[in-house]
Amino acid sequence: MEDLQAIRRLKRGDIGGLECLIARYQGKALRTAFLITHDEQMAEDVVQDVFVRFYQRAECFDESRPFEPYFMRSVVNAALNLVERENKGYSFADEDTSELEELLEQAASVEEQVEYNTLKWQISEALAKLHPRQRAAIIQRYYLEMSEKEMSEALDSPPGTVKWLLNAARTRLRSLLGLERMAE
Amino acid sequence: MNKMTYSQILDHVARDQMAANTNLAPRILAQIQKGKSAKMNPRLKVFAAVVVALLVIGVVLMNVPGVRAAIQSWFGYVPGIGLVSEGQIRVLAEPVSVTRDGIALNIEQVLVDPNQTTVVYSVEGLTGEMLDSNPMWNTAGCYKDATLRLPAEELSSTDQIGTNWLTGYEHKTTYPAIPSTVNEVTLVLPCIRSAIPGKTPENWELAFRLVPAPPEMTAFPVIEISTPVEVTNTVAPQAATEGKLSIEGISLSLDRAVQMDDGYLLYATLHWENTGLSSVDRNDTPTMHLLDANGQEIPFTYDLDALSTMEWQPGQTSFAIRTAQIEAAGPITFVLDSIVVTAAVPIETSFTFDPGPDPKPGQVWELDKYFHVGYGHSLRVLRATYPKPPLENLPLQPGFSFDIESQTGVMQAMLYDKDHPLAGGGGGGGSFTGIFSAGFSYAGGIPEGPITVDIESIGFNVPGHWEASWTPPATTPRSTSTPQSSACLTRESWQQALKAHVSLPSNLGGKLAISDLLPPTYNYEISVVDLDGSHRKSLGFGSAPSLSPNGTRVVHVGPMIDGPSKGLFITDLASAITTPLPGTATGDMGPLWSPDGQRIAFTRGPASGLIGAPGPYNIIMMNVDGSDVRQLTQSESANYLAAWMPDSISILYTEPSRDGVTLNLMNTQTGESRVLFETNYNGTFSISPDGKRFAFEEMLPLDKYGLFVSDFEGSNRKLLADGISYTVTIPAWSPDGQWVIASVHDQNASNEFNARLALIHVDTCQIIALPKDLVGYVSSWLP
Repeated sequence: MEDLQAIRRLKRGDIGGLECLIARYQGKALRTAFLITHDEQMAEDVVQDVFVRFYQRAECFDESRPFEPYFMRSVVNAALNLVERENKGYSFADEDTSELEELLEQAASVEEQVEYNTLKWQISEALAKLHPRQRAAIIQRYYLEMSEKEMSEALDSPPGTVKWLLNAARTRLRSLLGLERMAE
Repeated sequence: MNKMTYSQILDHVARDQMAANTNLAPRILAQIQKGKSAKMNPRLKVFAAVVVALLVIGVVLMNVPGVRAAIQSWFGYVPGIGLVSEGQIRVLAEPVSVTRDGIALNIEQVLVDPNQTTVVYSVEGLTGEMLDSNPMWNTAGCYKDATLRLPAEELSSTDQIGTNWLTGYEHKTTYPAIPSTVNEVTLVLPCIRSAIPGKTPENWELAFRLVPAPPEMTAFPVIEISTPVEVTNTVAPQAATEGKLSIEGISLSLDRAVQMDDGYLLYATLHWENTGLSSVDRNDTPTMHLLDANGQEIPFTYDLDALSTMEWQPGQTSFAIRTAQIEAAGPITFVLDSIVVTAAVPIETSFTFDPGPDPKPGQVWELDKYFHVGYGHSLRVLRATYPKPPLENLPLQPGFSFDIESQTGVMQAMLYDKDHPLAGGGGGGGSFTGIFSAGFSYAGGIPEGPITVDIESIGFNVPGHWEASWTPPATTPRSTSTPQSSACLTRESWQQALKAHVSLPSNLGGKLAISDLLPPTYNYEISVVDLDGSHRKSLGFGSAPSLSPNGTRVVHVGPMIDGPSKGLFITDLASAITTPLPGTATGDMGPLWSPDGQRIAFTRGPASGLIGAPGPYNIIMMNVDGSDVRQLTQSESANYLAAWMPDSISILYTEPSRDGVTLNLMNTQTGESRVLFETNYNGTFSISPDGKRFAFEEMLPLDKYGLFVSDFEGSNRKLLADGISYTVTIPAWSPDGQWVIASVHDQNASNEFNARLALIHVDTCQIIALPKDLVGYVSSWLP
């Protein structure tokens, strides 16, 4: 069943439509929320909440737009709101430049699975050090592959703010991971 | 290592740290049910209050501006493309296709008008193991859009919509207009959407030619509704309001109509130019009505494609609906009961707080300031925060973020400090009620001394009444027979049946196996009950029950509480003992007991067991004790078991097709299979006890879900239910072959989770509503 068919079923009161959407998108949504919250339970709460809200507002969904970007934007915003609320008063540690340099060197020579596994762990650690809003920007740009215009709409921020967030995060993460080389 | 994208790497990072195959469906469904009545009832009360207020304050008449700006001239509405501008029109000379490794890329439709190029292409031949939606892949797929290569340039898409099915997808993509001198074009598709790298061919190129549109090209005429539309507009300021919503200037118009074969495509626009409002939008479907000249509701639905060829205009919200055939002569009226606006706060609403002489990033000031903001709304500013920069080594953006809560439904707010130059911000909030944030940043540093913050605007729903009318031309051809007009279960007949409380015919009885969602957990539970509701036996969590022919046992899917079912189970009705069916596992579904009681057949899906997971799905048959397991189909996509034939030798199953599914008959002894007929919807197929007729679901125009009976080859179809206002689903035949039982969802009901059960006499069309305490989905009915 395609997304539109599922949404139309849902709009007609058939809960089976929602079940299909859950089955199709919960995995990616959970991973998106997790990458922002770094907490699996919070990620599950976020995705559950966004699905419930979508159910409540399904009638308003504009069928001329694809479901997935809309839904993932909602997940990002919900995850960001939650993690910012949870992190109120928490001070993020100063950037550890020596760690960045070390990661950069390792990333530059990654060839083996073992090294890659180590790098993945370090990526996770590096992400955790970012401010949640920057984490959200990174996830949207590099995981969800949203354009900066889409991100601006999703984050409810002027494009300039998004660019600033993204440039800072991009610079930092690239230097952390040496990802440019792997993605080219 | 292979080269990877950022997305793939981040996907790996998340997967490494998360549990596999988490299934949130039971939790979500339970939460939905718990929240339903609490969320819906207040809204109904608000609406009732507004209706009363309307009677008191009267009606304000408004006019749409007399001259429309820049009415575009349309050549017509081309099916599959949309509205086409007047001027030179070129189309695809002939469909073109290329196949690589069993995957076909087809360009099906191209139309170039003076404003844009529209390309419809499809991909066919995909299997689940190629795509990233398959849980077996620990990586993300490719998502690069197709471009158009011209001799001197490459055009990127400006918009794209699409549909997908199990084995492929179709995209309608728009590009800038191809110059009139260029007729040789190449579609360049970097990769198959969502395909795992290396699993499908990449870098597709498919050349096509453009030719002038032939005179016989199908294009429905567009009727511009150019006469200014008089609209009615009222609003009901509520008690204790310190201001009045200025919605003068918000109007609704019907802009154009496209006369289709089975009704109209109507384009409507909400105008809010020059109102100062930030946005105005339609609300959800129950707040919209299309009425004929007799005041009767005309069924309608949104048109998915209609707006894809329209340009967005500031100060306007356009939308398109497809109507059913309009039978009554005279004007039709489109009515909105509610809109969603972002509006300026009508009274000066501000507060002052003193951040002190040396505010620090990260500092929080508890404010707890309550405001009436007009229109009967209020909000509470809970606290202010001086946000820290996202990174400590980044420049500080001095400013404040405010946490705001509203009990009246305000969902967004804009806040400013007018006394000091600002760098940005001001807004915040979303589409849902609850705590939200809004804030701003200063061009300089945080100003010294107390600051005054103005609440400039808020976003919320506005009940009211907007309408626009139009009279279709008298020459409109009217359908002499539509499937909807001859349905047995219609909106009217079902409502009559609900009121009638008719007793069951004396000769009608038997035992039903039912799945339904029951409180407090709202997981699927199974019960076996007599048709009159007596002798109910609850069998606990599980779904898709099938009774053994002697009525003593039930085979069913197991509980799906903490994840997918662990397989299939058999429950003995007398002892209530449930035992696993040997040889079954997670991903097995839809078991059916053979009429002779000797075998069980079912569909085996991916081992993840997730609903809707990509295939393959195949049919398995085994003896009742789990022995002699045989895989009957060898599909890479999806074969679903539909039914056993009465002879217990043949089965019926579905196979995906481009426009839906084919229903197939297979002899399980010889393995021979043949197609019986095709339908556009992969729903339930139930065969009558004599093996001569089917009851099945099929999509009707306007995306209504129809329920049909037909002969064995799909001919002589009779519409049992037209799907208007009620979705009628999961049919099952009575043992005497005279009745079909089906589940009926009220599309507008806010407080009914389970479907009511309806009996439909397939010959006389008599409708009987079963009692309210007998709800759910019937999958088995024995004498």
